[in-house]
Order: sequence, then structure tokens, then C-alpha cells
Amino acid sequence: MNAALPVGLLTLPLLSSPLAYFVGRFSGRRHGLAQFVALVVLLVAWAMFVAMAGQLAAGETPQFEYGMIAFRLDGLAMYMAALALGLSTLAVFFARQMFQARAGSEKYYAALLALTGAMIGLAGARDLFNLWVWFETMIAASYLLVVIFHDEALNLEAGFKYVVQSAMGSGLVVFGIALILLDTGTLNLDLIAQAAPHSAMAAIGSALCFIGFGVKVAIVPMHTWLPDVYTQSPSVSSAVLAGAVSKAGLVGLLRVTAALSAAIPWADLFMLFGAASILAGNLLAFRQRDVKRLLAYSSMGHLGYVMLGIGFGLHAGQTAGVYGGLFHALNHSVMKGLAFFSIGAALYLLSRPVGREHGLRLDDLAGMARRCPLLALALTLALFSLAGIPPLAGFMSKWQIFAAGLAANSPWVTALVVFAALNSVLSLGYYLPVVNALYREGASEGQTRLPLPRLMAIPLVVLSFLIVLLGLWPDAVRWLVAPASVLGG
Amino acid sequence: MIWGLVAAFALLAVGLYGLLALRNLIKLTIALQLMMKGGLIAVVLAGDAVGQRGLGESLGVTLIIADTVAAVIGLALAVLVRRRLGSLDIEVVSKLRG
Amino acid sequence: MFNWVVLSIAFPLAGVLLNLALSRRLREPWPGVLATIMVAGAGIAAALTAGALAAEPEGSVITLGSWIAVGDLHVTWALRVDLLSTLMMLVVTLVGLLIHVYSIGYMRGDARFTRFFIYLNLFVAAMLLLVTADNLVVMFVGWESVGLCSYLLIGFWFDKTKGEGWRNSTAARKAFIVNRVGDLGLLLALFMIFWTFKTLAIEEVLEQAAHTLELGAPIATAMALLLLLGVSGKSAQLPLFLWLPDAMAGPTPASALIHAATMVTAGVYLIIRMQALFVLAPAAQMTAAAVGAVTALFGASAALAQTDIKRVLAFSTISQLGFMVTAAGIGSTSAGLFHLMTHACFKSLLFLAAGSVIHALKHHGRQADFDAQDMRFMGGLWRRMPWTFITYWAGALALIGLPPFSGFFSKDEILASAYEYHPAIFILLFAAAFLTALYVARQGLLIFAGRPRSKAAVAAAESERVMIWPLLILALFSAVGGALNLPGNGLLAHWWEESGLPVHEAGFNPTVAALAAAVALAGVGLAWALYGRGKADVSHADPLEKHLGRLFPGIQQGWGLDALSVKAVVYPFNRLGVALSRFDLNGIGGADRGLAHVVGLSAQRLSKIQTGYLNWNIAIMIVGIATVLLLVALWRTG
Repeated sequence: MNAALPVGLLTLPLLSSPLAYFVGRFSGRRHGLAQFVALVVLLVAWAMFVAMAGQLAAGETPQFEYGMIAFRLDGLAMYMAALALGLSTLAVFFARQMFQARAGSEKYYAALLALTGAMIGLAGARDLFNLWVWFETMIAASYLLVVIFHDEALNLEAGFKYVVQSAMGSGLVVFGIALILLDTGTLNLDLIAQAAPHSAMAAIGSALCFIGFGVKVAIVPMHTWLPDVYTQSPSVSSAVLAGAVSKAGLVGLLRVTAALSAAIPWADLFMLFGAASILAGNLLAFRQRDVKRLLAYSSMGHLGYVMLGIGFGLHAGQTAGVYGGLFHALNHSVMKGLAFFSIGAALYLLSRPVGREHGLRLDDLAGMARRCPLLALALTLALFSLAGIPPLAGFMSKWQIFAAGLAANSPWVTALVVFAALNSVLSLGYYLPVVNALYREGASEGQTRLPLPRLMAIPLVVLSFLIVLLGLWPDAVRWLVAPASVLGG
Repeated sequence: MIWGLVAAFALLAVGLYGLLALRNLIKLTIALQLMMKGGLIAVVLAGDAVGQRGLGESLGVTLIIADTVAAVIGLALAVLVRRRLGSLDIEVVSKLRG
Repeated sequence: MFNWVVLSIAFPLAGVLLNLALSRRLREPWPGVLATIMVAGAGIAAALTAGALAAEPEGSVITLGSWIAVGDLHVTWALRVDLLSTLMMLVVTLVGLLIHVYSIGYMRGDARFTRFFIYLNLFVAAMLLLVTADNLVVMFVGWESVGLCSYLLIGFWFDKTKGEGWRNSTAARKAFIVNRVGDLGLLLALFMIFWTFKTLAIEEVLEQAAHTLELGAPIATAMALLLLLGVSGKSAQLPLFLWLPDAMAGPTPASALIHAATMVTAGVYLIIRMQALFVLAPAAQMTAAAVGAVTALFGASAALAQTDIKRVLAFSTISQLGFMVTAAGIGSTSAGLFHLMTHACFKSLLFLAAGSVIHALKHHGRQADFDAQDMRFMGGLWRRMPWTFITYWAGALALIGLPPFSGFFSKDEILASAYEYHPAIFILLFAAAFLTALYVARQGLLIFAGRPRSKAAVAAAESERVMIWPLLILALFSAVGGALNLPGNGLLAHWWEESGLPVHEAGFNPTVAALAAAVALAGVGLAWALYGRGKADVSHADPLEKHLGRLFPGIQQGWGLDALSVKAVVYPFNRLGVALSRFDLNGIGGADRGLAHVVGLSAQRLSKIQTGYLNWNIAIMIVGIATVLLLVALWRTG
């Protein structure tokens, strides 16, 4: 009985993915039915999620085991499930109007559902085998999200880079798993953690996993696919990729980190590569005139803050840093999700056909505030929050990361905090021009006076509200983030 | 056993070199396959070495499926590139920069 | 059930969101009606809170959740329900409600009708947060938010033609900047409080202050003085009063709500709330009393010579706030709060009545150089606007302080306390009370008495009902509001003792009361003698000018303090800016631009790593692998 809910949460999105496809393919009613199916599936999944959140709060961990497949929804898994469900639900709301019923968009809902299921599976996996299988499934589903429309050669280019680099990362994870198996004789994460291996072989295996999962997190220098893909994918996909898929990579990495904590200096790696990502993301964003590319680089920087926070936590052996990092990851999903949804809405208002999304220049946003105040407000909120302006969500989580770093009382860590804080100030330099452009006078091209469809407004309103809420009341998600930040427990 | 591992990492190295040096999209996909096959050897060998042959082999079979998906999508994109741009050279898909 | 207080703040906030969401759908007057209903809801919630408080006079703290928790700093969203906060809530919601109703008529046809009500609702929510906050940081949030609303509303007509819009936005900026000076004081006080007590929860701060600090401790004096700087910004006291007269550029209902009845009294509220700190610092108390009393006299004198109907009231507000600051400063907290409440009623009434007059004139003013706010163009309106006339005078008599109007009782308590505290303070306030009677009567006579002095005044007609009803209700409160704290068995004083707030009362002093009434009558009589026949045309000099001579233009300019501040602060500051900018170009600028240059250059360099070639991407990934493996190897060997 206890197993029904976790089994349902895992399999429902996966199994109904083909259903959404066929319904959309054969109903022919502008894919409204496919959207409806996807929405119903996700809402049922939400209901199961809520029921299990209750169980988790009561101290039980929902889990099941079937042969080689073990699945346990602990704190971190629930955290990831919430992100996956949240982003895909909002994306479903957003997608149909955005795609304007183009042929083939029913595939999108199928891919989205499969992706959601895969991310939940990845988060709940209890051994490296399952972890990798779900990771691979997730990557396969995300291919479709990226190249669903390939009207432009540039879409193909981004898609090809994404496929090759993702597959390479996944291959490195396989090598890492093989070495870990060779060293410990098991793939079960709990058993590995008990063995606490620290041989050279386990070290190389862990390092390869760090790189492999790091491709999805887009840690410098494995980030090179990211700006192309975030720019060329439909904005709905960019929102899901930045908001959920990158976090799924992080969750995979954290699983390995917790199990092989003695193998390599995780804390130092997290802090070092986190700081490098912050700097590189900020500098690369600095000169961008293309808004989506700017947001892509800023994603890199923000994942850097997340890594830094987790590194602080691992360094000091306390959960405060991990909490700050995961809280910031959650906030980043909200903020970047909102930013990409807003960009999608802007492209819609400018009548740019989906699939030809690149090259939204800063100047194209001019006059947007007059044209659609809701959109301008939402994007402004997202950008201010990303820049870390109080009292918005992004500020609160950055602050917790910095506070955790300062609590470590070590000169090097303090220097990193100062470095990250300075970068945070620097980031204003590229966020503000976007806001400025929004509120500048000027008629944007594409003068068709389309109103913003209500279904597209829903994600904007929900996420804007969350940004303000989490800024004023950061404890509103403590129930979700706190259990997740107990690594390995 | 150890030679098997050496072979696996040799395939990884060849695959990486191919990804680094080749300019044809189809050849790049093949290089990727080489690298994945190295991984296949590594997991099967590792499972065998620690006495968990079933585990290693099932991981291997899954890996075959997974890299086939990657190969299919990679090749499909290559075909589309060829059709649209008339070339398979990497030069035509190196426009996104900066 | 003190939880009503949460609802009270939630209602106007919901009004903001609803009006934002529905801005495209609702047509005039519905956004106003919606906003009004929300404030009414807040008022009902406040009344229910008051009912709950009657059952449990000591009140309670409602904790909603934690906001910031870093190190020693724990800021919680906590709201405090006690007598002080509940009375403030009642004042804010009651006056706010009436002004919302009035605004529906006053703002009719304005291009930004909805936006006006959004600002008003936002203001009410922020003000309620300010007065109920149980934590100084949360209070600061409210403090800054009301400042923001004030800024937005002063500059509300920023796009008027003929340079008027420019003047409006300049006034808004001036208010904003001057208030920042005060806020700096407040912020420093908060830092100092946190440094000393390791907490910012008001209750704990006051308790710790009472237990750990000695009477006259320098740290307590410093805190109280810094708080006083914040007060002088928000409540327009010397030397930071300069922004309030200019703030009259905003729409009249906003002036009535924000710049007369509620926001400007936040400073007085702060002194009363932090009274335990002031009690420990007699020097700060003396300073507060002196600042308040001098401001009271200064404001009253400047009000004498104004010709703009709203500027008279602005200086009058400055002066009356001086009375309250004095009272709160010397420890007569209940007297200060009493005057705050009566003043909120009669001053907003006077503003709304003035607004009614402006509204009536501005549609007929076609002659050149006509100014609908200039009292010299008015006169004889009592026959044309009878309701405005009656209600205005109800408010005026309350302000003058004639028995049995409310202002008499509240002002008398302050005078009696000042009499006990220090003769100099008493004399200053007493003189201010005389001038108050003079300038109010002057204004009332200029507007309503005699014959109309312009075509617009001839054509003026009574305002519509939606504007008159709030006037009538406020007039009623202004007339009988003194019943709240009659000498002998004062309800307010009784509650005050029950609630356990610090109290120091002078009680009723018949001599002072009689003197005050007499001097008020004298002021009115003098005004009648000078202005009774309404000889104050634009072409004539003001009758008072003949007697005051060259003093008159001086007080008209607010004793020249505004000009002085321009000369002493603004001008040197601009010079400094110019000098610094020159220095900047040659000096720091180098380093500064150097940094920008470095960032720009490294960004440019770094963007080259994104070549777009897949091979290159793989190459730097391999570099990544090598780096990680190298680091791991180093770590394992070292």
C-alpha cells in the first residue's frame, strides 16, 4: 500500500507520455486535447506528491523496491520532484499558445511528461545503475525539447552540440560507475557510503562523475553547449532546462558526493568550480546584446552560487551552506523560469514564429512596458531578483549562502564570499540594461496588437508571486529544502 | 581483466581524440560511439570482476540502447544539416559564438 | 482574536492587487469603490481587533513567520496589538476610509484614476504595517513604504503643462531626499540598538533598555537623538521640515491623508513607541521638546503670511506636529496621542474642505493669472458653498482650540504638561497657540467672508454629495472628539493606564485652559478686525503686511529657511559635486574606469573561448577533465 504512491508518481508521467502524443496526433483539435491530458496527468502527480509530502513530514520515507529497481523519495528526491513538476506544469500552460498549434507540437507534451518522469526517477534512484539509466532517459527526452522545431540551421547547430556534449558527459559517468563498481563491488549508494572508499580508483571514478554530471549542471568548462541551446530552444524549453534539468544534474552529482564523500575533495571542487562559474558566467553575460544568451550565461553564474553554497556546507560539515545552495537553486528555478517565460511571451507579442527565436535584442524589448505591463513587471521582478536586490527571493538565498560562508571563519572561504558578493554587484551591470530597455519609450517592431493570452499569463503571475513571497517569507519552503539539505542522510 | 580495462580506456581516448579532431558530423557521431563502446566494455568487465556479472551485463545492454538513441538523434540532425545546408562539414554548424 | 490585525493589513493589499489585475476592466468609479470597500474592510478588522483588546487590555503579539535569520539577527514578521497600535489603526482606517470616499468625487475624470487608488490603498497597507510592526526592521519596511507612496503621490501630476509638472516632480524629489536624511538617522539608531541589545524586537529592546541602561547613559541619549533625527524627517520638524510645504503639489486628498493625518504623525508614533528609551535620556527629551516647541511657533508664524490655501494648512500641520513632538518628547504620551487623533480628524477635514473649494474654483478659472489655490481670489463663498463653509469652520474651531471642540481638550493637555515641564517650552507653545487662532481665522475669513474677488468665486457651486458626506462625518468627530478624554474621567487616560504603557500626565489645569481659550478668542478677534471685511484683493497688500512691515515677506518665505538651506546645503553640495567630478576625471576616475575597463576587456577576452566550434568545446571539456583529475591527484598526494 505504501508503495502505490511512489510507483504512481514515477510511472504515471512516463506511461502517459505516449498517450499525450497519440491523443494530440489523432484528435487534430489544435493540440488542445494533448495539453489537457498532460495537464491532468501533472495535476494527478501533484496530488500524489502532496500526499507523500505529508508522509515525509510524518517521518516516513515513501519507497519501493522491485528487482533491481529501487526507488526512495527522501528529502532531496521530493525537492527535485517539486521542481520537475512545477516547471513542467507551468510549461504545459504556456506551450500551446506559444506554439500556436504548429504541426508536431503534440510531441512536446509527450517529451515533457517523459522528462518529468525521468527527473523524478533520477532523484529517487538508490543505486548508481538506476541513477544513470534515469539520467540517460532524461537526456534523451530533453533532446526533443531542444530540437522540436528546426526551422533554422542554428537550431540544428545547437541541437547537434547538445547531443554530442550530453552523450559525452553521460559516457564519462559510465566510466566513473564502472570504476566505482570495480572498487567497491556494489552500485547501491547506501552500501557504497558504508564502505566509504578512498582508493585511487574510486577517486578517478568520482572525478569522472563530477565531470559527467557537471556537463548538465554546466559547470565551467563543461558549459559550452549551454548558451547555444538556451538561445535556440523554444523559450518554454529553456525555462524547463534552466529550471529543472540543470538541477537534476546537480541532484545526480549530490548523490555521488554523499556516497563517495571520502574519495575526493568535494568541498574544494564545488567551491573552486562554483567560483569559476560565477566569474565566467558574469563576464560572458556582460557584453551580450541577445537577451536569451544573456540569461543563459547568467544561469551559469547562478549555478555557480549554488555550487559555492554547497561547497561551504561540505567544507564546514554543516547543513546551513547546503541549505543556502539548494534554496538558491530553487529560487533560481523560479527566477529563471519566470525570465524565460517572459521572454517567450515577448516573442509571442512580437509575432516571432516559434523555432526562430534567436536574436531577441535588447532594443526589441523597447516599449514593452507600455504594450504589456504585466510582462514588463514580471521580467523586471525576475531580473531584480536574479541580481539579488532585496527583498526578493534571490537576495534571501544569496544571503544565506554568504552567511554560511562567513560562519566558516576561514580566510579563504571569506575571500570567496567577498568575491561572490562583488560578482553579484557586477551582475547588475548586465541586468539593468534589460530593465531599462523594457521601460524605454519606443515602438517595438511587429506592430500587431496581440493581447497576451490568459494561459500564458498564468505562469508569469504565479512565478512573480513566488518571487515576492519567498523574499518576504523565505521559510515558506523550509519544509521542502531542509530535508533535502541533509546530504547522505 | 586489466587489459580489458586498458582497452576500454583506449577506446575512450580514441573517441575523445576523434571528437577533438574530426570535422565531419557523421564521423563525429562515430567517434562518440567509440567512446560509448569503451564504457560498455568497462561496465561489463567491472561487473564480471566483482562477481556481479548480471549487473554488469544489464547495465551494458541499457547502455547499448542509450547510445543508440544518441546516435540516431545525432545522425538525424546530421542528415537535416546536410539537407538544409548542403554540407556535413563542422564549419556550417559553428555559427553560434561569443 | 487578535488575528484580525492581519486581515486589516491584507485588505488594502488585496485592493492593490485587485485594482492592478482589473485595471483594464474596471471603469471609473469602480476602482475607487473597490479601494474604498477594502479600506472599509480594514477598518472593520481594526474595530474587531479593538473589541478583542477591550477584553484583554495587555494585548498580544501575532507572529506570522520568520523573515531573516542570520547569526544574532532574527527578524520575524510579528505584529503587535496593544492600545497604541490599535488606536493608530483606527485613526488610519477611519480617516483613510472617508478620504477614499471623497477621492472618488475629487479625482473624477482624472486620467490616472485607478493608479491614484492603488497608491492610496498601498499607503494604507504600509501605514498599518508601520504602526503594528513588533520589530524595528519590519517597522522600517513600513516607514520606507509610506515614504515611497508619499513620493509617488506628491509627484502624481508630474505631466501637467506649463512647467507645473516639473514643479510637482521636483517637490516629490525634494520630499524623498530630505526624508533620506532623516532615515539615515533612523537606520543608524537601528544599528546602534542592534549592536547594544542584539535584538530588534521592540518589546525586548525596551525591556533590556529599562534594565541594563542607567538614566542618562550616553548610549541611550545617542539612540534617542538619532531616532529624533528620523522623526524630524518624517514629521517635518526643524531642521528637516522643508519638504512638507512643497509636498502640497500632490492631489488634495493625498495631502489630507498622508501629509496631514497619518504619515507625518509616524514620527510622533515612533517617540511614543520608544518612550522607554527617551525616558532614559533627559537630554534627548529636552531636545525633542525644544525642537517641537520651536517648530510649533515657527510653523504658526509662517502660516500667517501664506496666500496659497494649502500652504497655510501645510505650515499649520508642521506647527501642530511640533505640539505633538513636544508632548511625546517630555513624556506626556497619552496627550501626544490624543492630539494626534483629534488633529487627524480636524486637519484632514480642513484639507478636504480646502479641496472642495479648489475643486469648485478650478473649473471656472479662465482669467489670466488666476490660481485656484490662491485665497486672494476667493471670498464670499459661504453663501455659495454652505456645507463646505460649515464643516470647514467646525474644523477651524477645533484647530483654534475653542471649547467644546476637540482641539481645545487635546491642546490643553499638551499646554498643561509643558507648563509643568519648563516655562520656556510653555511660552513658545502658548505663543504658537495664539498665532494658530490668528492664521486659521484669517484663512476662514479670506475664503468665505465678504464678497467674491474673482469670476471663478462668483460662479462657484457646492461640491457633489460624495465629497460632502465625508466632510460632515469628519466635522462631527472634530466637534465632539474631545469626549474621548474629557478632564476628570478621561477614557483615553484610563485605557492608557490599563494597558500598562508608560504614562506621565499633567492632568487638567483650569488656569492654563482658561488662558488658552482666552488667547484663542483674542486671535480670532484680531483676525476679524483685520480681515472681517475681506479686503485682501490681489491688487491690495495684505492687511497684516501694514502692521508687520518688512517682517511679512520674511515669514511668508518661512523665515527664509528654505532659501537658507538652498544656500547652505544645496548650493555647496552642487559645487562639491562639480569639484568632485573634476577630481573624478583626473583622480579616482582613473582607477574607477580602470576597473570597468578591466571587466570589459576580460569579458571580451573570455567571450573568445566561445568559438562556436564543437571540437573546441570538446577540447576545453578535456581541459576540465584534466584539471579535476590533477586537483584530485594533488589532494591525494599532499
